[in-house]
Amino acid sequence: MKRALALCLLLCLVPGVAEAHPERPTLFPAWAGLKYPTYRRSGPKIVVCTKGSRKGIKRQFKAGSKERRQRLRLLEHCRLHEIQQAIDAAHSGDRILLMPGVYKEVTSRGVPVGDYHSGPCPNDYVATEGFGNDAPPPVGRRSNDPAVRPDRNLQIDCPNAKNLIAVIGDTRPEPTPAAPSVVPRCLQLCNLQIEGLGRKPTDVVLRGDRLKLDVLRVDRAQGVYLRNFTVEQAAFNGIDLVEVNGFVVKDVVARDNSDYGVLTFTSGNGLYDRIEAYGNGDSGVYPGSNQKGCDIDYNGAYQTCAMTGCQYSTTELRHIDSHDNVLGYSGTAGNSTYVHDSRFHDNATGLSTDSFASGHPGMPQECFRWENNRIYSNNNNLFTAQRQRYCNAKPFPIRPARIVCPHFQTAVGTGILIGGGSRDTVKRNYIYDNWRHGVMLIWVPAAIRGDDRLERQADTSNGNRFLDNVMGRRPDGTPDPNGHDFWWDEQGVGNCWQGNESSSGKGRFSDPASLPNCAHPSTSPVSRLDKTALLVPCTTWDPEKNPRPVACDWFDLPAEPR
Amino acid sequence: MSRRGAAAAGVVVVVLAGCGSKPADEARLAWKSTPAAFSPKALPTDRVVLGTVRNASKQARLVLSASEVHVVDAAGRRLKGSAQFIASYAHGLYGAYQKPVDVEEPELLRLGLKIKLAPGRTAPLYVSYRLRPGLKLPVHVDYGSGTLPLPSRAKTD
Repeated sequence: MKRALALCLLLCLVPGVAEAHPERPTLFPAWAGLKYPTYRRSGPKIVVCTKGSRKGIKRQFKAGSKERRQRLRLLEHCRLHEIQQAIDAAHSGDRILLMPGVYKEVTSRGVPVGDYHSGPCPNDYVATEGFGNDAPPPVGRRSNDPAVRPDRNLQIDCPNAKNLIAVIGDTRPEPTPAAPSVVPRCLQLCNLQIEGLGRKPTDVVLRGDRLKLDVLRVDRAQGVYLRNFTVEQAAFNGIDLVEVNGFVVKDVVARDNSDYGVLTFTSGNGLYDRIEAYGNGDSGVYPGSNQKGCDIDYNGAYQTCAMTGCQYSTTELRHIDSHDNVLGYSGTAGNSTYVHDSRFHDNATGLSTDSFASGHPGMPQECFRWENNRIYSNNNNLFTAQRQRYCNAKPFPIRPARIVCPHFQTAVGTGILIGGGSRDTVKRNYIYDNWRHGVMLIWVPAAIRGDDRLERQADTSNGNRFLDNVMGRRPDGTPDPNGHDFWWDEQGVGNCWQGNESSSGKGRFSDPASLPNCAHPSTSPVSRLDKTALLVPCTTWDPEKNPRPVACDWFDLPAEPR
Repeated sequence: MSRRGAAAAGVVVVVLAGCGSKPADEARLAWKSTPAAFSPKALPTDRVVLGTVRNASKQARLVLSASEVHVVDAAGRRLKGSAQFIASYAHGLYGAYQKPVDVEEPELLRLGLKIKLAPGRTAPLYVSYRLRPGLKLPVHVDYGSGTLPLPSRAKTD
């Protein structure tokens, strides 16, 4: 009966044809196998320093050490004091060496951020939908603040309006920014290496002014290697890589950014390595709209790996320590990521991947592999009434750096939340001390992402496997229960759970009490209505207008399970 | 403007083209079948009702904003809660503090914050509400130009 009702609701979903997205419309670059850029110790270089670099070197490296001597020698070559100046002077393949210090990029800060119809490149914006429709209401816009994003041409012509530091690799004008036709190709600043020469990442700090959207944006510049520095206080992303083929982000601290620590979008052939991300209002790391790891026409219309299977990973994340964010990891259309040997802890939710939003290339989400991670203690309730009141009263530019304000709602106390994903694998992880659920798997009908075609409504969450995880127990053997190890809305074909050990205690292994194994995986294309219904009210969360939606319990941290 | 008239301001009735010579019939919603009601264990005074509504008029197209849909008690008093034309959890495109003043219509439609229903067409509808002492039963949905009944009992998760 419940499933019949759910099916009826599914069939009655209203068409909502939207291609909207807060990022500009993008295309995947042309890929050529999985190749990360390699680190280079030699080659052409440009040295950048601050007034405090000499002192910093002396403080960070022992007297007489090779490292100190080397850096002091390099310091003699320093002619530039802003990273953007070095990028502007660089050629493809150069290394930009950053001496210890805090880089505030005074010249870039002086460029007004601007807005649609005012400031730099006032017309180089593209709307997610309906832009250019200047008819009066009710047909046209009702507001002077339309939903617009800077387009490709703005990034080319006014790179420092929105970005403290910008690396723009493709300078060809885009004739149709709303529906880009120029497939990204790196024409300049390709294979740059930007490296901090401090002893540790926090010795070189790229500090945003809390107004520019990105501290460091790499836009259509392939093969970039970013290493050993800190990015902080961006009004959107600490590091933002868009339409990039081939990247490494290594030994980076990404903290206290309004939304994302490190974000990659319509990118691939990438490696996130040894990143610490904390204090971000959305996610520490975000490999979203990630290249699909199977042989398909990646810029074609609807494409999935259903026929080919998941063939390879396209972005690897390893040795990540993401904590004290709203989400440790998230990725709408975060396809084919390989996340391993990492820690996600003390966030509101540890990892989330989904097919919720519309307009993201690469929908629906599929084919991640998350293995050998520790996902624990994600009980950080950043949605308390007090916090939300504070966040409402203090906009990001005037808020102290260490206060995290949530930008999206999530179920506090959850280790992993898969909101519409298929052919994903969660294997051999330690998942413990998440007071709501260790792992949560739910269906997202395609209409939710703006695709109303009937045959696609149940294209998530199918074929997911949860294998050999240790639930409710720390690596040292101490039991540390999850609220439920696994919570599932009971939708999906081909989902299975096998070989998972639990120390969470009686009645805590799963909801439903029995889960299908891989010899007899799940078979239902629709969810249980009672489970789905109780998630729906959480949709209406809005910190200003509806901070505590009626019938949504996500923002109350459950009692610690014992 | 009367109270009912003010509430109805959120409901736009569009007469279909070609019907100019006939008077428009009343645009109204009806449950397609009995909706289901649930209550979260952790929030025992809260209710969620999920069902499918149909534009029961013959000619009038309904354009409804979710913000105009409320649950009221028998005395006509609004209960705390929300409504959306949606059947599963979703989240919006924009971060909490980055929403444009005027969200694009496709986004409103996708999230069920707005609906356009031709005669006979259906859409999901969920409402949530919180029971409070002194409310007069039964409670029902008021969408401006009409009402929908709500189940009196809810299943607890």
